[in-house]
Amino acid sequence: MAVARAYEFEAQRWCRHLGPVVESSAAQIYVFDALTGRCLYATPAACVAIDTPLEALSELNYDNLFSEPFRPSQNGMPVIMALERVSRDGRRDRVSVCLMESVADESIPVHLVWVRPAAADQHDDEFRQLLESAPDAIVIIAADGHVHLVNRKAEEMFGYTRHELLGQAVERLMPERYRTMHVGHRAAYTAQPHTRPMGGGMELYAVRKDGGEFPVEISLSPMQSRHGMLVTSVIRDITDRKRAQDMLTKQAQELARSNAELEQFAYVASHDLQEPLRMITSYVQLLAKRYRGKLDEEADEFIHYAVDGANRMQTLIEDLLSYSRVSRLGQDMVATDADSVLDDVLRDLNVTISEAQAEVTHDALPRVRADASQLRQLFQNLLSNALKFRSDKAPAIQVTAQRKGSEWQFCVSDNGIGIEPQYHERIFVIFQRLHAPGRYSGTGIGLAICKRIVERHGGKLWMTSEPGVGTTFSFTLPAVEGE
Amino acid sequence: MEGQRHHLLEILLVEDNPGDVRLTRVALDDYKLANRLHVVSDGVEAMEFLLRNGNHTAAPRPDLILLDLNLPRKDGREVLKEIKQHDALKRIPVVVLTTSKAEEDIMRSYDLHANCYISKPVDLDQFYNVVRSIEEFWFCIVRLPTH
Repeated sequence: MAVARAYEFEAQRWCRHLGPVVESSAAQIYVFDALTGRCLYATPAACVAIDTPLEALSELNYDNLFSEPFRPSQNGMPVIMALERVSRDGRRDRVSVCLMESVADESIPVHLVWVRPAAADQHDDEFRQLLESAPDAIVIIAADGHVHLVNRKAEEMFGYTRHELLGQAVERLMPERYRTMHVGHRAAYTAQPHTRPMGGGMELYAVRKDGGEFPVEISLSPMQSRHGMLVTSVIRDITDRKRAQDMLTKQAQELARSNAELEQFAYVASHDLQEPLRMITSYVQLLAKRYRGKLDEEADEFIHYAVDGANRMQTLIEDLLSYSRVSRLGQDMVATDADSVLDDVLRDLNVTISEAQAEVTHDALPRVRADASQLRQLFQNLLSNALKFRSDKAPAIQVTAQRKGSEWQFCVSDNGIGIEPQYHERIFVIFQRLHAPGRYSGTGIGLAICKRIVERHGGKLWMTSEPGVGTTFSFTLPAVEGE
Repeated sequence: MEGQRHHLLEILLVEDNPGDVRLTRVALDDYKLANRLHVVSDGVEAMEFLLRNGNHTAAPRPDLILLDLNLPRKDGREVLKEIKQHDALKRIPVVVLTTSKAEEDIMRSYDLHANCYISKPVDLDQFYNVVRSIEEFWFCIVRLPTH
């Protein structure tokens, strides 16, 4: 305490001696009454700068002269800030000032404002304006890790005023758990400074004044200044981006999970449903066997419907199982000769083809990257459909292949009954049938399986059709690399 | 088709579904040869029967085992494995009779030395046929080791 008072005394004594020097220098210094804001004194250079004669000084007030309120630092240190100075004629100059609290002779608290010469501050000023208008938060750190400068965006982002940050360790802006580690990282950076993103691909978090954490992206660049080496860190709040990314990742996982679950469900359901169904069928049949003729005709009819229903359900379950098998038990995609696969299928369908007196023609088909047994099922289903849904004419079916970029496009065309446009989407949905049971056999699984097979190969399946003229199913499969 | 043996044929059915047990019984009732069907409803009891433990100290050695795969307590696959690794039991023919048509179940069963694998048919007549063919094949055609 005594030391401080002694220092104060010395300072005041020397100030009286320095007075003439200050008076004659180019220094622009204003002294205000801390309570009223009234101007008590200004150096001649300060008066000239605002076109105000010495006599008019007492009319001046801090708040009229400067655009920003006087904000002293907490610790008595001078505060440097950029603000606007308004001259008597209304001219506004952007200046850099040094603000300080002090006490004048008669124990009057005063505010000292030292306006730094424009020439020296020109660069600083432009730099600061650049800093202030930057869209990202910028925190400039001295080599010892103390905050040297922050911009407005950084104040907003962290919830501190710049006066609360200046001179503080930069670690204040990061979560507690990273602070110790960061001191080490910072020392390593200062030893070998270069421009780079911070964190080396790690997720970085910053902490606000209120304790709230948020994810950030930071890039660092060193610069030499008259204050020594400074490190500029540009900080971007990536909360929104991260949220969007997390959401996408979550949705993708969710989708994969629900797909897998659905497949599992289809498999388990159909597998486990078979058991009780077999019981129903068997015992109804046992009833029929033991009691046929012993009951009346109606009873026989009832039994018939029960057995028929159970049988149809059995078919549905088996179809559902084969649908779930497409991705559950799919084999690897390898170079597969579509031509020989098609030949196999035509051989299998030989009887049906000749019974229908159908004519099947096909191009020489290429090799594709495919699961051979699924490709076989694909051709089998499409050709069976073409044969099944025939018109009065003898069926004429054509299979073609055409190269499209990295894929082959296959077409299976028929001259059958065709499909009304409004059903073009529906036919690919599982168990959707367009005809009454009995007219055409089948549960409506074939095309759903086809679609699943093609999609598993990364291709597309679609159709064009004209009722009464015919239908073309087209699908794409990946070509063999290098062919 | 003359039977090779004149004693009562002992068949062990390992099956947890009473409906299936009854159906098998009904089908075996029409059987030509005198047989006795023993039924256990899980894998643990099946092993007790075969090893004559627990409640089955007086159990006969079966001539044929009909084994379901999905069983409570001890799975049919484990039962199969234990039978085929047991010196006194491994020669008993085991027919895996199950609902599953899954490729992996079939492969697995043969890998564990099942003597044959049959999917239970949905249709009653077919079920009868299966039971009949089992009896005919194993008791009339195949020459089995004597105990």
